Amino acid sequence: MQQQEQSATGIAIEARQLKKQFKGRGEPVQALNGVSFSVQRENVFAILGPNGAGKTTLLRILTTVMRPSSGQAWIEGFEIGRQNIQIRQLIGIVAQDNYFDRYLTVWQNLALHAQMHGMEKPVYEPRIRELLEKVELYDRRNDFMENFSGGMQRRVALIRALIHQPRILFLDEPTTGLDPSARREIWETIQELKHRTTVILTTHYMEEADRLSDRIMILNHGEVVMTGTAQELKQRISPPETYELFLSTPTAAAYRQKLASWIRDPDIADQSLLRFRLNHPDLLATLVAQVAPADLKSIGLAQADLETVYLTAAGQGVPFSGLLAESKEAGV
Amino acid sequence: MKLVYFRRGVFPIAQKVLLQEAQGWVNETVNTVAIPLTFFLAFGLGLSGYISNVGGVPYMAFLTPGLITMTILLEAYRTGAWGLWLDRWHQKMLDEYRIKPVHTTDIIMGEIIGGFLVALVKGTLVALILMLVSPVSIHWAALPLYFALVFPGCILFTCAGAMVGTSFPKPDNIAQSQTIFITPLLYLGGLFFPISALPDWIKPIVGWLPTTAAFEGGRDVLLHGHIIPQYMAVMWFFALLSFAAATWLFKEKLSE
Repeated sequence: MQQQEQSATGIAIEARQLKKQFKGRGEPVQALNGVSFSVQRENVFAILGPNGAGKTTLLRILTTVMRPSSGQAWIEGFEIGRQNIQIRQLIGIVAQDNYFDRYLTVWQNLALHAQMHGMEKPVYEPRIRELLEKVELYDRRNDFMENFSGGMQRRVALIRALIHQPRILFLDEPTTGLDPSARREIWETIQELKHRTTVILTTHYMEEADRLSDRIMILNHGEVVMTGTAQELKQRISPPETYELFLSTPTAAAYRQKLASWIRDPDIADQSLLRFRLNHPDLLATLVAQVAPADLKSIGLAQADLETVYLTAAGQGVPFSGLLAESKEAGV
Repeated sequence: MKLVYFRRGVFPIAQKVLLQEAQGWVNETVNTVAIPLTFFLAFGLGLSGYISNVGGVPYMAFLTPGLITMTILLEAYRTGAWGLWLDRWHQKMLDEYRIKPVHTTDIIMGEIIGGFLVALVKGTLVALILMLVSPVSIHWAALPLYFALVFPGCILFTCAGAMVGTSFPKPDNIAQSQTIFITPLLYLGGLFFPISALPDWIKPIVGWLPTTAAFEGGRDVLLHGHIIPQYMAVMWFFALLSFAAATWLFKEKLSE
């Protein structure tokens, strides 16, 4: 029934009130505390949060490695904990660490994975070849994994997760520790996958989440703090009616003084950028008129970046609005 | 449960064991052959002057089937123990296996079949070498019966190895387990002498040891072409028990 419902609504993943408690020798640790969300098919869904927020626990539950203490979740309509084998057939996973059999070659490692997914030799051989050629590792198919760099191992890990053409791909910090070019290669692959695979991504790189994801969920202390598109999240914490004046020369300090009678303590983000809040947008034309046309590069509405959103949601940052100056009531 | 998922993981895991074994096969083969050959030279040549025959067969011929069986069982144990230790603690491949659409029993069964094939190849090699130097006469027609006896032995020893390899993170523990459990089982099981030579009070216990069933039973099959049914029953009983225990433990460890 759930399978039919999810299929009809285009939902790939649905989680309801997931809780996970770890009981150790000390106090029990509540890793997840009632996490609910859903992911649309063929979307990239990023899960952000500080270390210990519960991201990896959530991923382990969704990939059937761990059972939740309570709550339910469905992957393409199959219930986690009850239909794990069917779920594993549909998902691909790139874990934080690359686990390979060091006594097997790259090809043998990939063939082992394909066989365990029930693929026959005539099917998996051309598939592995195609994927290895794509990342220019086909010539090294008979090498042992221990001879590969971290970036190469990560590429092979990604290939391994894709051999059986999963409907959902889980990427747990896929670019951590990679150099910029290797990172970009992974990003390109994710972008290519986007229109035929649902991708669940955890990352500490805000640029990665911003660039790749359709929706973002921020976790903190095992709870969902925010969910939405990157744009929605940025708007949610950006203060209203906040403008940024970009100057073509580093004259921000001089203009700060010049505009002092209209706005109270404008913030100089850098020597070419003034940021201020206008309680009355009508005042904007007056302010712009004070700036020499040669000095004015552009003017726009200020918006928090994803890092600020993340830090605010994680309770680690100064709220964006705290940085801003406001227009003087007297100046209106 | 769709039938398509049934036993899907057995063949790839067995194949993996064989491929792993193929790496460094020269060293492995030397190690495998060295132990039974040393025993044969030390006991066979050394004691044959004092023990002319046992139960109507020359002592060196008495010793040979036991050494072949010992090689097979020890190889099964080694493959299970080191294979699972590598997969769980060193390479963390178990973390990979548990996200594959296969059952836990598939992994254990794959390890058993892989271990059995490795053990069989090594046992055959040892058998060929020993037959060159030993005055043993094998009942070739009884070989299927011998395989029917050592296969459950391989299940038992692979599962015992798998349990040790899965449970203990230090490689030293595998060597310790061999010293504490496996070696006494080998010596008490009638490898070097007939169990009839043991004191009466211990005979009832030793008679039900799986190693006694393997060595005495294997010797009966290879030298005389028949087997006491009790030995076959003992081997299969321990094989099924160890399989159930290893599967349970493996599931427990995978869910940690």
